[in-house]
Amino acid sequence: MTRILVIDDDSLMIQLIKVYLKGENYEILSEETGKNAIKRIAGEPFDLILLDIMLPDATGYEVCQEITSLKKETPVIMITSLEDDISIEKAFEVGSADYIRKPISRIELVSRVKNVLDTAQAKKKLQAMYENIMKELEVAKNVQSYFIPEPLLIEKDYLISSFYQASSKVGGDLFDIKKINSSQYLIYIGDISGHGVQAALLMAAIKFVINMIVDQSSEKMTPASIMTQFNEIFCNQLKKKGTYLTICLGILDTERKQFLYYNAGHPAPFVFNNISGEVSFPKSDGGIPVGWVDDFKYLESESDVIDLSDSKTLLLYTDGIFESKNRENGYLGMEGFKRTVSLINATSAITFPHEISKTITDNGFVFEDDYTLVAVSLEECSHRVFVSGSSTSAAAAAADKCGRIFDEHEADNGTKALWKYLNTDVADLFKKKCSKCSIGYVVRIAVHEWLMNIARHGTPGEDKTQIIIETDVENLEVKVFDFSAEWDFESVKARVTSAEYDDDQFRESGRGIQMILTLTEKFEFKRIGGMNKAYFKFKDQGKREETYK
Amino acid sequence: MKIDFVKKESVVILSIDGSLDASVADQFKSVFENYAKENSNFVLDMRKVSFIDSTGLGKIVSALRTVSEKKGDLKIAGISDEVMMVFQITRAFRIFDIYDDVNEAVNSF
Repeated sequence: MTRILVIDDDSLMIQLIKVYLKGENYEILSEETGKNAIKRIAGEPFDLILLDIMLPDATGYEVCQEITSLKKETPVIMITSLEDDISIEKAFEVGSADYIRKPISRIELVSRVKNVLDTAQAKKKLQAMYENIMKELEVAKNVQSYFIPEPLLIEKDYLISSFYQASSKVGGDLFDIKKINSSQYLIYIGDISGHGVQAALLMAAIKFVINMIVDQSSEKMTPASIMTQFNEIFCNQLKKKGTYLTICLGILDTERKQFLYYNAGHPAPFVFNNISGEVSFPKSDGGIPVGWVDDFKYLESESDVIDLSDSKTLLLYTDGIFESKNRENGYLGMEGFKRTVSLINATSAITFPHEISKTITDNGFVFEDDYTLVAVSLEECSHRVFVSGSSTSAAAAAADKCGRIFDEHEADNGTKALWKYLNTDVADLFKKKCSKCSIGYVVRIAVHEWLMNIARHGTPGEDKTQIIIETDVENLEVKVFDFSAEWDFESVKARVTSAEYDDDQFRESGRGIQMILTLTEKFEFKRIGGMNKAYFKFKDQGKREETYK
Repeated sequence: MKIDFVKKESVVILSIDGSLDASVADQFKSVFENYAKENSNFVLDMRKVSFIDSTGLGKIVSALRTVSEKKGDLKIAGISDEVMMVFQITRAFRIFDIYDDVNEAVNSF
């Protein structure tokens, strides 16, 4: 039954309301003071409150304000005997849904109560529906995440780092890589017009169809031939749904070190140099998006080729990145995007997509659409340790691999020289008891401690992460990248470097960070876009020349 | 990691073989707590420990606290240079009695 609470110190008025609303199937309850009413509302559910504007302990406005902050969904009707408009205006201001003037007429009371209850009911239904839709979208988002490659893909001959951000719950961006043979990989990035569930479902279907075409194709397949077949199969599907797909689809050849691609209405790829940091914007021909013309012939002559030799990295992206807006509602635009990319001095394909996203955000731009950034590099990956898994298991696996690199017995021929150098005593570093500790051991323990911190702080629950360790022996540098959550390293650092910390001999935590800070000449931690980067610079022991040969 | 147990009069000698790091720290803790129920004087023989991390060290520190509360002690023996480095950086050497030789540590009780 619908429960109505009448708050009025006039028992005659309460009686009158009860009489007027009799036969409407309401349960009418009452309170005489604001204080008691608030107490009761906090503990019991009501569908409607009828509130007199004059109460012995408070004004109706104050009580109304409290009710709406306590139970936003419970509507309040104010009963006022004051005739002036200010009181009515104020009643609405403090959150009441309606008002009734004294003396109360039965018809007015019944109809206003009914109206307010109907509106509240409709609102509740809408809210429930909205929550359901959001839940469904959350499920769709989770399903979609299975179709998106992991942020880092590393094979012996290539490295692909991607950063994908969905604007609403589900996005319409498309990106995938598929192995064709030992030296060729199909890579494509696309954008389905519109987003939401339809776009996400189409994305899954598109991936399926492209995979099928590639699996069934002969040796001679080219980006243009794949595009023509794909459009034949998919054009009508997209047309029927009133949507289309822009796509940049190409074959990465790790032997020839090039990317041969067809650009179907998609923004053109960029190239940046890992060493010089220089960015170039090769010209891009191509044709129309998929879903416009049924029998469109995507021609070989409209394909383009990008050279990826000499530390060049390919950058693919979707338009969400340059459609970001600043506070004045101005778009970043293609030129602004190019300028931003040119200014980033990224020296690694791993961080490049994340640096771009961070720089754009730092410049005050907000992303409204989903966006994807993909960096493809053919750089040599042998100096890297790469693991993937839950944060705990990934950290343990990385620590294990890292430990083996610095273990003499495990070292293969390729790493013997490295090991020999790493085994140089760090006599200068720890003169007393540690004359035999090697620089390799110092590196190992510092990196190990960092990995344990990633496991501890980086990822809530069992979310997957990826960890990559890069070592540069020449410069005694180590970089550790991970895709775990952001955590507050600076506050841990502040704690372990404080005087009180050193005094507490039985302290529970912080020793790992303390060790890292002691063992390194320089240690930096940075959050870049969706990833973390730790940089270690170790103290040079000055014996490199004689031992690292 | 393996932990061997020998008792010499009132002193328990725990000999650790292998790395004492985050992956085995809880194992060390539960073994130690088991022995600490009935004993309060310990020597950790660390001759066969080549690697220790802050988590492993943390468990040794909390072991020391456990025995201190019972008026006992935990002494450390046979520590390698690599392990000593960790004790030095974290200043843990200040709260432990550290001996080169296991017998020397046992006789110090």
